[in-house]
Amino acid sequence: MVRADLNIIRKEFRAFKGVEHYRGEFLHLLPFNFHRLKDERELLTSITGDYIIAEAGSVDKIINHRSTLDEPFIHDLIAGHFVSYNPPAEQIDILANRLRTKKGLYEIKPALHIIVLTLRCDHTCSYCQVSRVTENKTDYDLSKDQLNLIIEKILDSQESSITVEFQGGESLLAFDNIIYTVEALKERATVRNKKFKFVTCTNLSKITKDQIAFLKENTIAISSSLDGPEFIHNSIRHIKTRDSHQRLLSSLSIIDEVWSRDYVDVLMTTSRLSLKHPKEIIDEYIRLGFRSIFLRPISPYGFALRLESINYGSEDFFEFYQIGLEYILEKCKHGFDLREQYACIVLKKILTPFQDNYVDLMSPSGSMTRVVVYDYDGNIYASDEGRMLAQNRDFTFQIGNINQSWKEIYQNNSSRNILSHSFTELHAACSNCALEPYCGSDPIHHHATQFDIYGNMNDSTFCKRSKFIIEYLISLIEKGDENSEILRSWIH
Amino acid sequence: MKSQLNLSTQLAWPSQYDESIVARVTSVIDDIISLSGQKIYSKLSVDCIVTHNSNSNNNGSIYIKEKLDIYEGDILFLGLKQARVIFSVQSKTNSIFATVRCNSNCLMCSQPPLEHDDLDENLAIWDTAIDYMPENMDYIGITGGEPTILGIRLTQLLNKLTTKYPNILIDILSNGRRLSVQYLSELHRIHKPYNIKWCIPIYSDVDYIHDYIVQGNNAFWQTTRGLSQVYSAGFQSEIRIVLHTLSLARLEQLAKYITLNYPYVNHVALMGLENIGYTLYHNKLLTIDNYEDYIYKVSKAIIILRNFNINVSLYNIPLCHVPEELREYCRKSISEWKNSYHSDCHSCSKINECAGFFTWNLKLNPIVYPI
Repeated sequence: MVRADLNIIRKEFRAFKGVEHYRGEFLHLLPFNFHRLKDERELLTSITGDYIIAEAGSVDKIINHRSTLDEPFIHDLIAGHFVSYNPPAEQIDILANRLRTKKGLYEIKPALHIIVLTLRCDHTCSYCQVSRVTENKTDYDLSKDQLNLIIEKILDSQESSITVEFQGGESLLAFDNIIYTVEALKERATVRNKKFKFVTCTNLSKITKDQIAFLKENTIAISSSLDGPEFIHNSIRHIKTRDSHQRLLSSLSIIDEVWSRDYVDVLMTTSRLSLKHPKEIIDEYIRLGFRSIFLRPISPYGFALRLESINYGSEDFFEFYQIGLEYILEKCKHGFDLREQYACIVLKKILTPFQDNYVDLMSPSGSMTRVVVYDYDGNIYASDEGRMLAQNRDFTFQIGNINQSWKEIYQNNSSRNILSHSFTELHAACSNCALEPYCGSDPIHHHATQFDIYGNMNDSTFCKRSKFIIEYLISLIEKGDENSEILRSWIH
Repeated sequence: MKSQLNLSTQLAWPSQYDESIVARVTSVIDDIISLSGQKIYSKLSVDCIVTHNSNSNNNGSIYIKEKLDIYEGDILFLGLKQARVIFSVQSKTNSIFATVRCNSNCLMCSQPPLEHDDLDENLAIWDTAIDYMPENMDYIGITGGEPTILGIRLTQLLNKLTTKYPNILIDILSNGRRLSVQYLSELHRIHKPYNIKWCIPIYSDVDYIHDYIVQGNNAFWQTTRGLSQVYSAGFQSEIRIVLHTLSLARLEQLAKYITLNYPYVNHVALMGLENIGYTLYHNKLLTIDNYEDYIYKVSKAIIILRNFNINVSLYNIPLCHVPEELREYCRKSISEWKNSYHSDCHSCSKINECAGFFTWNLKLNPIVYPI
């Protein structure tokens, strides 16, 4: 090429256009929801789950007076997928990506299979609705024949990465059946192209070294309960010897000695007594070397509702949660490594494009879509709470039994009824709620508390609690102080 | 484009030619003082191929006037009076120059594009050059212009490289716009996507500001779609952000945007501005004068990305220009042929770990603070 030509071309290339040329004329609206916060500011959430907190009156301006919006705010709105100078069709792919990232794993493919090996238990905890203190193995245990059918069902299910959880009663009372199931599933895992993880739920009142050796050899995690210091724990965990807490501690020290604490997770049940002692409970978790605590309210089902010791109002729980979380953050500032699980689940939804597979706070609800429960009698339930209801002769969440094929189970009326009430996106109140991207659907809760599986959100304790926690966490991460930084680091 | 060699007399030249010859240096003899009355410094023996006639294997000699770092195994592109080193065995950052054409025209382009059809020519050159490249190689870059304008020719080169070097990492510097449509079907013909990393710039979380910076209508959404396409097809991806006034304004917000909308990227590189090409014309528009604000925003962006477990690097920025806590993110990122150090740098203990400067950035009389 001749140099003179080159120079002409170079000059043409240098005819740059100003920013106005690229801006576009009209600011289109994309779908979004909004919610007035306690301090009168407005919380806006877009279709992708991005949020913006704006001063009062912003929503009105966005909808009716866009020309009065200032530029930095418009930029925030564009970046959050609230408005666009481009025709919205340009963005469909990325919006679809975001939706897929959030919802991609929500297929009807249970990944958590809970097997209730036995109802027998050495404890008679006040809130428990299912366990039996008995020596009678035949009435309250799964038989080998039933277990074989369950093993087939697990191998037949579509999901390839499956967690099998042994429940009770006290699962260790049926330890031979744990061994049997684990060995049978492991043997056939490769041929059936499955990967298994195992968890066993136990009160750890009398685990033996031999049992631990088997759990260790097969990497079977332990899920247990710790309600706080001795006086709280023992007040709801009843055992004849009245030493549930001590037994737990001595089991933990054996596990520490021959295996590792990394495989033990403990859950807390909040009783009326716990509500007064959030700090003591957290101190106990720290004292015993746990790095995670789940401040969760008790499921208000069946006769749990009628029991004084565990029946309390939402406000009481909120206060407990707030004091508890602030105490945990205080501890973190002093170098302790402790996280609150409820906050972790919600923060991940707020701050990242992902969400955990936490079945009690997702849409569609995880009941049945991600979890199934095989009860001791061979019936299959949509969730653990579903089988509790069945103990009170309410079979709404029984979706079949182990003699049926998955196809039969998923096509019956019971399953359809549950699934069609499992979407926040399809609920008149939830679909317009600004907190919907961070919330979930809980048909069992609404069925059990309102006798209406659809649920009335004006009067729902689930809705009230979710809103409280989500708003509270947003207010904390927006402060921009040390607490915000700690909470933001909990998303991993 | 690397060092130009001024050729002296050419002896034993392969027959007739008027355009592209790719030659591999087979031996170098230095210190030849004079030949036919001309001053000569080196004699290179070469194997060469006339690229439009691939049967024409030849060898010959080239005499060059300057003393240059040329080694056995280097690959040259020869014209009548000039030659270019297009591949240097000593370098760890060799690049294939795909084309001078580009579909963007970024305000800070360091190598402004030209509308000149060099696609077949470049394919021919690099197709031959790959044959000449050494037995073992673990990295090569592909740059331009916009490499995807090569179209199917790019696919050919990539497949040829990954066949010859099964463990190579190839960085492609692309604006990603054509990945959304024009090059999309080609993406699926590339044999080993995991060996390839697309390095794609996003300059703002606000679509039209990005479009303005790259001077392309709808560029933001094309690039965004391109990024998700390379991810879906199994490639590695990297987001590159050149730091200047326009990109710095919303750098924190851009970092957050990346965590939400491109959480799958393998790496984000924040890059110092190169003071050459269009940047010279847009000095006032682009130059960052508030240093404190610059460091503050860069730190914030790094924290946001790190909290999200996304790898971050700072490219083209000397260690002494950033606070100590950010130095772990600095990389020695400038290709040897355009990399220089300030005279005061030689008293610095970190000079070997430091990116230093683009040679032409030294014209801005930067201040250095030897460590």
